[in-house]
Amino acid sequence: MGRSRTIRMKIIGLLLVPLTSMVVLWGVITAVTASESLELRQYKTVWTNLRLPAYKLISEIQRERLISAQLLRNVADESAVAAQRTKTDAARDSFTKLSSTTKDRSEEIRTQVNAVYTQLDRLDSVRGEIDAGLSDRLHTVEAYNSITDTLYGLHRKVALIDDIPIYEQSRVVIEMGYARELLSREQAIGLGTVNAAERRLFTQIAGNRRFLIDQSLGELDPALRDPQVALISTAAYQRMRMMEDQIIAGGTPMGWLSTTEGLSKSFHEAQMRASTLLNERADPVADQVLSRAFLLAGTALALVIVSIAFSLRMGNRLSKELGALRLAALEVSQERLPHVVAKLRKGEKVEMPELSVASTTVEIDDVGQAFSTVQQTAVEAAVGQAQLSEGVGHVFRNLARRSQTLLHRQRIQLADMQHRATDPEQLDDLFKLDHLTTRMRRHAEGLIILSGATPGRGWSRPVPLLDVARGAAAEVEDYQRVVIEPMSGQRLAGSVVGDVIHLIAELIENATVYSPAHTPVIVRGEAAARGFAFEVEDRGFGMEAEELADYNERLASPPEFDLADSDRLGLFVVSRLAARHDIRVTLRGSPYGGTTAIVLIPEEHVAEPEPEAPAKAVQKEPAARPMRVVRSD
Amino acid sequence: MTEERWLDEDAGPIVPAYLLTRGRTVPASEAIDLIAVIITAGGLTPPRGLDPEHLIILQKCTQPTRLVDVAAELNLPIGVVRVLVGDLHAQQLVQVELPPPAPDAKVLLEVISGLKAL
Repeated sequence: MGRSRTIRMKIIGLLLVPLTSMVVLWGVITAVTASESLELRQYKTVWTNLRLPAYKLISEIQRERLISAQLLRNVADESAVAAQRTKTDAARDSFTKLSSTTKDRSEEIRTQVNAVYTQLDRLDSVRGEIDAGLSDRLHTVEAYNSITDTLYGLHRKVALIDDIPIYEQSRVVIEMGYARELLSREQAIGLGTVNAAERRLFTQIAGNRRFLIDQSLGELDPALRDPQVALISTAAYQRMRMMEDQIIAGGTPMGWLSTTEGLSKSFHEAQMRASTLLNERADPVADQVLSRAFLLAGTALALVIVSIAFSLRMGNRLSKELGALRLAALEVSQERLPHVVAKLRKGEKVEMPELSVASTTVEIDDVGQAFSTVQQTAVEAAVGQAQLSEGVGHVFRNLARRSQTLLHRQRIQLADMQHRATDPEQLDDLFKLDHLTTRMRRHAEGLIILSGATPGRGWSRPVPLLDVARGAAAEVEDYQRVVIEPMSGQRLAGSVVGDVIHLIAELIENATVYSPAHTPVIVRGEAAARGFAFEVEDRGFGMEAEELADYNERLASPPEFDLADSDRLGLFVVSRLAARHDIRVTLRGSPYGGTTAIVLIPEEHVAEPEPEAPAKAVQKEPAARPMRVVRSD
Repeated sequence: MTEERWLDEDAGPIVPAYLLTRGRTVPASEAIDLIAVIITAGGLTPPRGLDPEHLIILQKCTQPTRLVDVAAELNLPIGVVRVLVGDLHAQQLVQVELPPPAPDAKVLLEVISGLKAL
């Protein structure tokens, strides 16, 4: 096997061998039965083309022998002999012609027919010897005898049939025919007074004939025997036997010729009837064999067709089932699992349908089941992974919340201390501490945002956007470099204040980090057509266009949080916060060569300025008031 | 899981004190006494670029007000208000009137003894 092939091809290959052998087997069966029926047809063909002409020829030769014997006893004239010879020749020609079409049926038949031809070729020389007076009576009779012997030999050899009873009866009928031949020989010998040699031969022939008839009658079945028995029981036959005995005793009985002639005719007729009867018997056998052949071949063919159809159907079904299994497996590996994993990473719930492969095959069922289990296991693993990372997130969040709480309290404490401070140096120290604390709080909140929760600061009233910008600047290390330009009095909805402050603080932090220490970072804010726009501009060295495009891409679609990518934590936080509130953040080059971040806050978060301006921007609760904690689930 | 949330005042000031002074604790002009009276200079339109807190002080001090009262009003540490007022003073947007110096102990003792003599 070279490359891998489809299952269909393999199944076809698997079925090819048994199906081919079945077809071959069917062919053999059909050929065998067909040859049987052919042989039966051959029996009939042999009868019409060989045996019947042979019988006719035998009759003519018998007559010729008789008339030749009569000629030699001077009881027949030349013209009668010539007429008989013409008849014999006609019969011989007809035999030759008919036999030539059939003699090549088998080696045996050919040999036998050729032997007959050889004998028939002697006929002319026998006649010549008679005409020339070179042949005596006995010799002439024996010459003809050898010709008829071969003809009978032909009969015995070719009366073949697959049906044993018919064959046996045929043989017996042939033997009866031979008995008539023997009678005909006696007839020719016993025409007149017989010499010693003739009498010896006659005696021998008569004995043979009687023996043959006795034996044959015992073997014939009733339908064939009765006419023969009737014949033997006739007075004529009894008279003939008495005459035979007289001839054997050396006498010359009167009326020998006429008696034997009549008997010979009767025997011949009986024989022809028997042969016809046998042929009729062979017919149903042939029909039977033929119908059996058809039945067998037909049944075998039907079996072959059924098994081919069945095999193809099974093969088709199997390959269909395997195909379905393959598709299901491919679906699981290429679509379902990646989809599920992606969903789980987003933190969504997943419903995994059972994988079902409709099949009637145990193994395919098992494989389908196994795939289902694999799928289940993979999903469970992914769920476990998601839960684990969620758990880690929870731990982060709890830790971050705790530090956030402590830092918050620390800031309250610091604010109180700032109120009580009288000495500028003391206040300066407190400011530094406050600034550090604020920055720490921002990092804690960053962790909370990364873990998917919201930082816990909230405002119920809108807050001026200027204060939002200033609050953001306060959270940055180099806050003294930040220049906040005056802006219109629009306010930001309280619910998003915390997140926007954090977002802008991250951008300002970036701007301070990526620009030289002596340059300012400028924050502007103005109303836009669809909300409010902040600009955070640095005077740094700027970024390449590709880098800018890459950053903008990340900002537009918050990427999957990757713990390995901690350098871009700030960026990740910004994109996540922006996505949370439909805020659009874009970076672009600034005219001063640095980078400008533009934050577009949608109008639903923007409120109009307070009616009585200017607002009291800074609030602080009295120091004595305990911190109010709102618990929410 | 319970989460702590701080609303409005509990969340603390949005703009911390150190940002209002950009971290400065020493006023631009000379130190201003707690009970110094601040008066907005008349007939001026405040220049651009002042923070909202500066504007509040200017508005507040159209009536002469002591520094302490300004700080209480703004709810800001004294040190911070001093710096802010110092900024305004440096730009001559406000006048700072120092309180009269306190009477010395001799005069007080004389007053006490005069009272006793009544």
